Amino acid sequence: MKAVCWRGTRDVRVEDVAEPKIINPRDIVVRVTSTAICGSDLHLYNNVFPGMTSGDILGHECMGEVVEVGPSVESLRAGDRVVIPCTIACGGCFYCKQGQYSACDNSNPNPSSSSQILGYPCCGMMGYSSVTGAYAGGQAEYVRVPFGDVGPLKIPDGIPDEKVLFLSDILPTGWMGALNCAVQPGDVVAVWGAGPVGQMAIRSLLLQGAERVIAIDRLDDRLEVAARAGAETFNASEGQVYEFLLEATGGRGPDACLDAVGMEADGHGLMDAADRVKQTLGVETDRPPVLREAIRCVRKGGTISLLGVYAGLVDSLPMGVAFNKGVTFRMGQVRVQAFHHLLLSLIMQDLLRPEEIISHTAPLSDASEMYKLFLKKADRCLKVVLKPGQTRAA
Amino acid sequence: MANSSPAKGMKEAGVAITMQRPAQDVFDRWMADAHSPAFAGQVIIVRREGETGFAWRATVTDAGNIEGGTSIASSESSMTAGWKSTMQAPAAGSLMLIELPYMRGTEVRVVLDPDRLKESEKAREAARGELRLSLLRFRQLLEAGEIATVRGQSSGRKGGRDPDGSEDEQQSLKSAGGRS
Ligand SMILES: NC(=O)c1ccc[n+]([C@@H]2O[C@H](COP(=O)([O-])OP(=O)(O)OC[C@H]3O[C@@H](n4cnc5c(N)ncnc54)[C@H](O)[C@@H]3O)[C@@H](O)[C@H]2O)c1
Ligand SMILES: [Zn+2]
Ligand SMILES: [Zn+2]
Repeated sequence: MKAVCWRGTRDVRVEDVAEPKIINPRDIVVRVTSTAICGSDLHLYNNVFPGMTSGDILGHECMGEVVEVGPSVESLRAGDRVVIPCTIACGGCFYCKQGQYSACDNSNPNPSSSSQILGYPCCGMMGYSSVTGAYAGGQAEYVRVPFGDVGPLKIPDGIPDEKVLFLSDILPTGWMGALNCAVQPGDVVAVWGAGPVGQMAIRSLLLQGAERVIAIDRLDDRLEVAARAGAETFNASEGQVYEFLLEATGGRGPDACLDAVGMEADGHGLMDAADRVKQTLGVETDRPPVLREAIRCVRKGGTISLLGVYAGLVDSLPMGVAFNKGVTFRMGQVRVQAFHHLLLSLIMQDLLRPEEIISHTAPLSDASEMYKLFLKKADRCLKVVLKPGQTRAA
Repeated sequence: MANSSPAKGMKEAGVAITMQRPAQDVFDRWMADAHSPAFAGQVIIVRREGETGFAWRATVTDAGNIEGGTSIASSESSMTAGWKSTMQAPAAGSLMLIELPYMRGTEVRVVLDPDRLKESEKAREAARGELRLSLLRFRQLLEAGEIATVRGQSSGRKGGRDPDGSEDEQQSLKSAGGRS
């Protein structure tokens, strides 16, 4: 079968690999009908997230048709349409029992790798480096899904892939980030990053009752999409974010600030230069200008919700500001399984339309070009969906 | 950790891990095919002896200690296999199970045989590392019913697949510097 293999920094190739098979009793195998490229994939593409090995199959946002189930799987059968959560969860551990699926104790087959890097074993994830278990991902014609009886969400017939594909990751991510803002009536929330994750967060915040959502990015085309969803916008290349947000909130600052950018945020000036040098040398793994800015901007007693991925160490965080303001920080990998039933019902009621952000649909064979496009954010590229089994239109 | 630890010696060479099951379930699984008496107590200590046997001692509330022995030689249980495959001899030690209140699971504390303490710090750390991995796998079996694996999955490596864990495949993977 064809699969997107990681071969090194900014080098992904569509290659022939063996088809997956059932390995453990709770596995399922899915024929992938749609799979997306995520901002998280860019951290792997740029080789700033640790634990990649040449030949790893990428992809953690996918859906398709079940073709085989392991002997212990009773909830699914061949022919079912499913969306596959990016986080792999056993359903039986302390964390899964509390709905904290992304903290699952038992889904990482390679716990020593993440223990070395993070100090504890993190949960397994589809297609996301040896840190999260080195599972083969879903940017492929077929994918093996561990714990197929806990994760995959059955999709009723008649709903197109595009409407539900993002239940695999970015929609629950945006929803969780919004929930973490603990929105109260009248709240103003600033969202850094109008990429796919930011877009999902903006829609979720408005549904959860935020009075105003202010989207911050440097790309006008992405800000336009945010505006269409109901956000106010600010282009960060046109002025000081801090000054703007203070002004926009009557001098108080936003009640909550949501970082949908993460470890590869663009900064400016000397601090950015220093961050980039340190990241290259490996003494600082993540560049946190957005996090610094959010701490500076949030109102006293406000909340900072982090969705953008951080992998390791950040420098020069204004902790004194955060402390004196009494800021609450909430963050984490998305607990996909905890939200997907609710979100599916919101989609079916047409209250959420995640498909609005799809800018490019291409055959799987175009993955290499699509990664380049998404990285450069060229051609108004906001979200790429890859279609295995499809060929390019002439 | 140290403050909440009722087990002496943990600081020297032990590993603690919490499993989301009652102590009795953990113990039953640990003893798998052995004929264990009915343990009513909350704290159970099992000492492994050599490659083939357990000596166990259960501290039963209000009833002192019960002692006995059991063999694992003929056991086919996956837990025993997991334990055996990853622990290098000598792997003797004691196991203590402490059931936590409010259904928060059971603390499993394993202390390595004091003989190990005479070895170099490096060897002791390696033994602890192995022990921790064994316990993580044991927990996977207990809570998830299977041990998570990527062996034999599709990949862009040789043959389009990751090695399935057979001996010669592991050997070639090691020499190729790949992941285990
Ligand atoms: N927490 C989770 O479970 C989870 C899930 C999915 C993705 N993520 C993470 O969310 C982040 C965003 O993902 P995405 O798919 O939207 O990626 P993306 O790269 O498409 O979007 C990031 C956006 O941030 C903007 N940006 C960069 N620097 C900025 C700055 N200083 N100020 C304002 N905007 C800035 C970029 O222009 C871009 O539009 C990534 O770090 C990704 O790994 C987290
Ligand atoms: Zn993603
Ligand atoms: Zn779990």
